[in-house]
Amino acid sequence: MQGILKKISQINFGLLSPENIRKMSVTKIVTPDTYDEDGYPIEAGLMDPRLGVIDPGLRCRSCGSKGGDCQGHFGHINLARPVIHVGFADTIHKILRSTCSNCGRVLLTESEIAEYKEKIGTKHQNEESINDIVKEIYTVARRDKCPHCDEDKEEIKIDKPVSIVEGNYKLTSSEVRERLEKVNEDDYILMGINPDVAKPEWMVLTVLPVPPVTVRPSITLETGERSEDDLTHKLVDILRINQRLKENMEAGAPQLIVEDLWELLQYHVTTYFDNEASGVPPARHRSGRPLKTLAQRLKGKEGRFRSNLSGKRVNFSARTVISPDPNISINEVGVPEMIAKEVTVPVYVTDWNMEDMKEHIENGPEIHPGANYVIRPDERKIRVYDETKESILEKLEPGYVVERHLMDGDIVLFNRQPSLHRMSMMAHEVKVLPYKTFRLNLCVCPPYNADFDGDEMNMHVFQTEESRAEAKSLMRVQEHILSPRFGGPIIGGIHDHISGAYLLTREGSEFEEDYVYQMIKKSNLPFPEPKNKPWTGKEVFSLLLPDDLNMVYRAEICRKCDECLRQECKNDAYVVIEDGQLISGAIDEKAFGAFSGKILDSIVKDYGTDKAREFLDSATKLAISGIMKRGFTTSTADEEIPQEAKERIEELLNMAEKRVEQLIEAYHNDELEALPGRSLRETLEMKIMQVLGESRDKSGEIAESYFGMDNHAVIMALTGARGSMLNLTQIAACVGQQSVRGGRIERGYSKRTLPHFKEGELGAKASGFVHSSYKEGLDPLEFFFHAMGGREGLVDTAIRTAQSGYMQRRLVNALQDLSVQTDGTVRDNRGIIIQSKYGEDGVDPAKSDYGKVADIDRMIEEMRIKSKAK
Amino acid sequence: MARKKASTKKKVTPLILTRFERARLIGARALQLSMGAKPQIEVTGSIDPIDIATLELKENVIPLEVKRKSEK
Amino acid sequence: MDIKKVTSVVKKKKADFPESLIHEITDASERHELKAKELELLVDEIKKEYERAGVENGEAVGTVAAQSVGEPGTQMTMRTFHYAGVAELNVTLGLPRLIEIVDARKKISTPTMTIYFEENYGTDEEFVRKIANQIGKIVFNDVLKDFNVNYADMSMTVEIDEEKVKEKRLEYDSIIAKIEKAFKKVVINKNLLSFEPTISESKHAIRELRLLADKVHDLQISGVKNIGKVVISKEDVEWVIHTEGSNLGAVLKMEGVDKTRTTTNDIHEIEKILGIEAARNSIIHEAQSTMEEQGLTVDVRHIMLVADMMTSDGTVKSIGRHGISGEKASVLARASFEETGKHLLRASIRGEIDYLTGIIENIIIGQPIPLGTGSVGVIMKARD
Repeated sequence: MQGILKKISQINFGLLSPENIRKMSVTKIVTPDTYDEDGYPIEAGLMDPRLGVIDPGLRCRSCGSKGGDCQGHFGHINLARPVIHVGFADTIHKILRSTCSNCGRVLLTESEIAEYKEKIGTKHQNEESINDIVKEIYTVARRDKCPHCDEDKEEIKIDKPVSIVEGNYKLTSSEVRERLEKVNEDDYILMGINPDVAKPEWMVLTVLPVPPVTVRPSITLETGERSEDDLTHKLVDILRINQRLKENMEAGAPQLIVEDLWELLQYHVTTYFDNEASGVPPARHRSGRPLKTLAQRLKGKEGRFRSNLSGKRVNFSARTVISPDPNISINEVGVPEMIAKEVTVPVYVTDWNMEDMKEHIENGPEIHPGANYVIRPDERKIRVYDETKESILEKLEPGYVVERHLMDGDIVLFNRQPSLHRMSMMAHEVKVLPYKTFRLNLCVCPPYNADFDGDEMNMHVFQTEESRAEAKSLMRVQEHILSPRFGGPIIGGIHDHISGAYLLTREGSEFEEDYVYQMIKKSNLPFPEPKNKPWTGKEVFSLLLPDDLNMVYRAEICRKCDECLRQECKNDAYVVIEDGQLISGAIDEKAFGAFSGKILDSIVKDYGTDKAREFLDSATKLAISGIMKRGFTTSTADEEIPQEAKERIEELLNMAEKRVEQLIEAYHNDELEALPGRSLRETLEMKIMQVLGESRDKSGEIAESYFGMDNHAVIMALTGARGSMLNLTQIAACVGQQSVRGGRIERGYSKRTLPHFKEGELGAKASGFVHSSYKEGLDPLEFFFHAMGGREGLVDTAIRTAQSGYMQRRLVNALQDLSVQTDGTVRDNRGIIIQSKYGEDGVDPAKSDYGKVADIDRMIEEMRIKSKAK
Repeated sequence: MARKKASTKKKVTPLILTRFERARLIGARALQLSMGAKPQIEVTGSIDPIDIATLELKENVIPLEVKRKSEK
Repeated sequence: MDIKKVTSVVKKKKADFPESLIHEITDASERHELKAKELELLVDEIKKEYERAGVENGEAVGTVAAQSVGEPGTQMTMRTFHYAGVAELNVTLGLPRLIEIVDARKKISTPTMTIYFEENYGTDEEFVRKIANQIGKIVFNDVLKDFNVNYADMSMTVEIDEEKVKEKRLEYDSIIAKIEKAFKKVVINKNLLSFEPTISESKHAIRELRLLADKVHDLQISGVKNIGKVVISKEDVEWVIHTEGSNLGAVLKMEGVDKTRTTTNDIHEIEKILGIEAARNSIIHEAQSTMEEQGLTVDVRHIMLVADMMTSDGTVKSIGRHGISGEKASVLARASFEETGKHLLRASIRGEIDYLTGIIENIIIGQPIPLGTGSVGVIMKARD
């Protein structure tokens, strides 16, 4: 792929030897002073100019490159005394424990050595990790006597964090280093050390590499002062102590002082590597804030790996609030002009687009479509201004790169966080529009899980031709209509699209021909022959359907009556499509809705994604036109039920509450029979919940019987546009029992829920049964219980997002290397076979029919219809 | 569809491009066209390199082919 | 149309259909009463569909599967308690259960077993009840009529309720035997037993007596280890036992138990008793039922991939840093997941080499990943 001149094939890890450190350093660092009085960096100090430059004006002394280009060079500090590297303290401890202090051999018998070496050999062959074997060796080698030289061994303990204690005597770092030097090289591998790249004694540092200035840059505050990086502070501490230690040792100071200084040096080097090492007080700033040293820079969510390497901030991106736009295609995104003028697309100038590019440069950076920069073949970037336009236009020839504004038709990546599945990032075509928000077609909201209450989304502009081409082939919205999660459509009509389609196609809806032509024009459909009479909604909808489509299914509004009247269905729920004509049945969620659209599903699978996109665009526009003609609204009048209904519901609920009282009495009189496996109390609770639940359901049924299909709220609920009948019954009839932790409200005051009740009251009202409907209004007690139940839901959601996010991260991390190979097996990156055939049948879930290879029943039916037609 | 270089082993892989291969071919060809390569078909309508590359692939005149990895 | 006929047609058409598809075709052909010619046409059509629906080489199935299983997680409830299934036992549901499965937890929060019985035994309610009481944990207190602790006399007497003993289908003598084995100073007088604390003359006498009382109270006289409450219910025509707690090994050995259908939800136990393949199936089954119960559909192939990944090494491994993610070959991949310092330090002394074959490594160094389009090699055609 473009731009790759060298491909990195592997990364080797190893330890730095003191010789290596000295070799790669450009200078020895001795003084802890950084700058002198004039503000110049001191030689042989920490900010020595040979270590690199950050200032864009200066040049680096060691490599000669300018401010931004120099990557910095290492220096070194000769430590007066060796110091243990905190990260290896544990390993050093284990090695000393497993080897003899006299002869340096590992404390294993010859046979054991041979056995383990063989095991390690096989593991290396299989490219597996040897961690378990090494762990085992460490435990086995904990012996008292050396099997090779017969010396006794004293117990070696580790004193947090870096002191090695033998028996009662604390080993100094030099002694530790000597012992490590003694260890026999043949035994290295048994302790997990690879002799080609590491020697145990290198784990005790005699030379400390000093990171370049670019790794620990200083910042100039507004006051003009220079503030040094945390690492620089730490290195200053190390240098100071090192100097003192050296002076004291040379001057022949008493043992105690030397040891003290040595410990202090060890402390500083330890916190330099890891300020959060256990057992060590963290080094702090004067302000009290702990320093951020090397280990902290790498770890955690904000560390190097997760925050700068696996994911980075990028240029050519944009982010604003989104707003809906039903008039653009699902493939498109509306980009504000401001953004289009800021993020650019680099285009190579060729003979064919020279004229075009000249126009762009002529427009300049202010007028859209224009250009912002021009890059010469020698890679110099020239900003396009009105003044420079002329000279640029003259010199322009093939080989130049013009960074032009974003234009209609460009492909961009559009994304909403949290990006939980691959449909959270899809490629859209740009449509530059005025004002300041991104515009999104409504059908594409479910995969992004976006609503328009202030959500923001990100846009990334592709910079290379290759990425643009790949995005156009693979990542366009229309390619993602079917979700890999369950094989059905995830992009489809929502809310008004569905109620609109229902109103358009239900029995009895008719339109004058001239309005029909308006609707057709709005939906970008080809004009049909005029009929010279009013059209039915079904006829209009049939213009969308391809001519060889044949389907039969039951719509969402189907009441699931015991005896299906099929085409005679009173609710117009039996949908029959023959040869692209909608013969009976109304269109609703089951036709082209987001999660269950059958028509959409079969169009995608049989006619391809382009046709599906066109169908969806047209169908939604048609549905909107249909609803616009008729008008649609809702109010509380939609939930009005006549007085007699209210009376019936009241009666029902009173009976239920009486029944509950009866149950409670029976419980108190010991007349209640316990269910198997349950205590009496639990049985009581279950029975009460059952009674109350039934009463709410029945009251709902009563209310429902008074609602008809002329009720707009009911239309929305039944067609699947928004809401459910449960919402309506809660508004009209009765809200029902509130629950916390799966049961009725129990907690509150001791032995009762609220002080309004007596102790031990178990009645319906006392445990959270809300008798009233939302329309009637809840009394204060009911309101309180309702708030308790609602609060549980909110807390649940909050915890759920965190837990499920972590689980998703772990799953993705564990499974991301798996891919399907050319032989059909699923292997990971080591080549190990995970599945011999993907999903045991080799079927892609996104292309499957809700999990199955094909809908065999439908195929047989269609086959028979076709043969009959012949 | 572009022809595949059949692997030298007996196993001949099927001749249909996977969508990744298709995307890669179009991408590589579009890059070449954008930097000035000569199109292999008559260019009418859009001069967008991606559209030209897609057309070339459809007409099977694209000068690139996919090398499938054979079994290790 | 029987399955042999379908298989032969399929073979004739050289269609490499999986077994399940052949079964489906057979069922459909029976339902619609297909004729031979229709069957041939059908197989042709299905062959076309099967090839169209195949997964493509280079597809990043792992990532898609992980996303498909992880994304519905935000829609699952955290509410763990629910009187699920049998309406008498608490079973962990929803997101916490899914996390348990994926973490391969050794100790799960609500282990439960479902015990089926063989043909003749399953319809016999008596037999099932007897087994239930044998398996379920019954303590001495459950069969007592009277329990007296007298602090003044420092004595304790209990009266065994014969009715209850019979109700629970227990053997009277075996209870007595257990009592005698557990307590040294017992005086048995028909149904009345009196216990004496071993140390009566001490300052802690009262506490001793209380402890003894508790010990007598909670003495387990029946039940299998690890199993607590037991519930019987009727499903269709047979009786089935649901238990709280799980001990598959002991239960499978009992007579009358249907070894092919009895199961537990503890995956590690299934791995131990029935092997790794059974554990894989158990993971798939548990994960699927958890999702279904919440009303979410996830294609089984994704769950199968997760289960296969967890069990491909021969043992059930967890998804996190102690399992699969911690054993990856690449140093950078492990370091960027969790425990950064540890992995880098260890890599340096082992002299590990990272061959950059995985996804994260390639993202870190900025190269195309070896999946999808990155797995395709393109070369210029030779000039003819």
